[in-house]
Amino acid sequence: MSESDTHHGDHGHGHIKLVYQPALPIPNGKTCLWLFLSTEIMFFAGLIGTYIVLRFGAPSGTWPLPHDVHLSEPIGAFNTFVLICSSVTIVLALEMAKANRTGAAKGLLFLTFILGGVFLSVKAYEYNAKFAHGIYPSMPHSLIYDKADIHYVAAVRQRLATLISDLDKDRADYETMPGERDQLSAERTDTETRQKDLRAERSKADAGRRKEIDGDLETNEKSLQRISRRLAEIETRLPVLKASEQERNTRLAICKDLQRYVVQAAEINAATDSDRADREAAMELLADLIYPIGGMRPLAYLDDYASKLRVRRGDLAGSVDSAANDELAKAALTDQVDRIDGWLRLVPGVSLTSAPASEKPLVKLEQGLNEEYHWLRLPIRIPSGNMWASTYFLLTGFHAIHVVVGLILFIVALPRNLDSSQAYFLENSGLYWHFVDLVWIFLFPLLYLF
Amino acid sequence: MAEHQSSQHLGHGGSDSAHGHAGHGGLAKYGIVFGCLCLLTGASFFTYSELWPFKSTPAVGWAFMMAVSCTKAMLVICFFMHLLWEANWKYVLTIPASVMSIFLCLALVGDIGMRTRYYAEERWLHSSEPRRREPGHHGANHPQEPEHAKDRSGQSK
Repeated sequence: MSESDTHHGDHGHGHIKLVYQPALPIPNGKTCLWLFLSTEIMFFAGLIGTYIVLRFGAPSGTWPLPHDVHLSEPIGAFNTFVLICSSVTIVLALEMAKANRTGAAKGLLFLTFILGGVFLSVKAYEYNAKFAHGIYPSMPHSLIYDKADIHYVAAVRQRLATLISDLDKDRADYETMPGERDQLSAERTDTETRQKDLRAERSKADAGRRKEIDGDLETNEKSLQRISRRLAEIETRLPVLKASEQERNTRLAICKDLQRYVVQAAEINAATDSDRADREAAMELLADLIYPIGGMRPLAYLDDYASKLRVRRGDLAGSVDSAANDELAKAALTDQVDRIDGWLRLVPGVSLTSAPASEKPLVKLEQGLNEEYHWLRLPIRIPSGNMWASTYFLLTGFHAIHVVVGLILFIVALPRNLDSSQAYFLENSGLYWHFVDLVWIFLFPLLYLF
Repeated sequence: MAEHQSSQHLGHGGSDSAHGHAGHGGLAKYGIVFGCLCLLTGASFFTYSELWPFKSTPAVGWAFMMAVSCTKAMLVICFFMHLLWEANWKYVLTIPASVMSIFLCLALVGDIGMRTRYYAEERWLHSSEPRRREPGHHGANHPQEPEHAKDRSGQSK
């Protein structure tokens, strides 16, 4: 406090001149911004620190690699470059404003704004890629399961069952709708005739009867409306169902095949194998077929698995022949043989040489089922995937919000005459923007390269 | 780093606002800093390429990338945010905040970073990765398992 300030109480006349001495040798706005930035340092350090601690605290190999979650390093590097460029343009804009070169300052500020927009667009594109693969921060949108356990297999079966029932319903609709349409049309003609008759009768009837007829007319009118609505619904739906008929049948066949030969096989193995490792392997195999995790593609073991199955099939086929008298045992053995045949047809292993050339494998080993058939959206197994998604979306989301705020500051500054009198605004928003850049400097290697 | 050079600039404090000082900045200086930033980004990207020699020990790559990030951060703070030319007040605002944030992260290590050390048997059942199985438990008759487990535990990137 200044000398005069302490004397203020003694005099109290209000004519003492107060001398303001700034605590820091910088403008108040800049002081406030730096105070804000120092809280922001702690805020983001907390978030980034939590990510680091979670990531390195995860048991070895359970944190998703960038490719497991569809992160592309070049895209991240591009965004880093964009932000660095924007930092340069904003600092140059400030220099231009200080030198009273308003046109250049405005141009550079606009360029910064555009670069910020590019950054956000790339971010939006990346978010979209995550969402398309079912990577969301939380259920029910998220398809991520941490572990290929019995809950995971159950979720896969549930999803397939839902798909099958939806497709079945569409197919049933497609089959019944033409008949329903004819029936409704006849019903409509009948009702319309009845309405006409009732109106004719009404004109001759007495007051009591007229009231009765009015009630009937109203009821008929309502059912006519109902019929028209349903007919319109059928008219719009039927062409769609017709157009998608082939696709629907293909999908239905794929879903049923998967349900019987892949999911049920995993369930049977998980339930009946005597060895715990075998039980877990069956479920992990299912997860690998749906969503292979980079760097651990099970190509080699799939080949072994297929050849094992072929041996087993040979044994079973022999047993079927020898069990000719026991019908029940024979049926059970035949079912097992059929399941193995189905599996080998769908997943013939890596070296397709042993599979009949005429049969096209359903499962492309390199990509996984979800990538091959986008509409499936089966649950996926990514170890620590949910934790990863939570931290990723939180970190990048908060950063993106800061970018948006920066862009708003630029929009506020753009219409102004950016000469040296406005330099303080550019300086403060520039400081903020550099901080946004700083955060990304740490986020990029942590999220994309670690 | 800023600390070494700032002693020469202490005189810019006082009533004279530091940003009024016309000597700093300049297109050439910003251009050099920009070039350094791009180079450093390339350097951290390089650890991900095939040419990086420390593939077997990922910790080296991580430490390198963090060092690169800190260098980039210092460049941005010193030159773009002009802290190199500011008066001593910069330490009041930046050092306590940085120390606080480091403490904040260290405080998490015990509970979060080392969380799996005290997992109960039941907790492992629901953890991301199946508990590491004893060698020999999955023998040669289960070809799918060993491959898988080896890949996961031995992975680096």
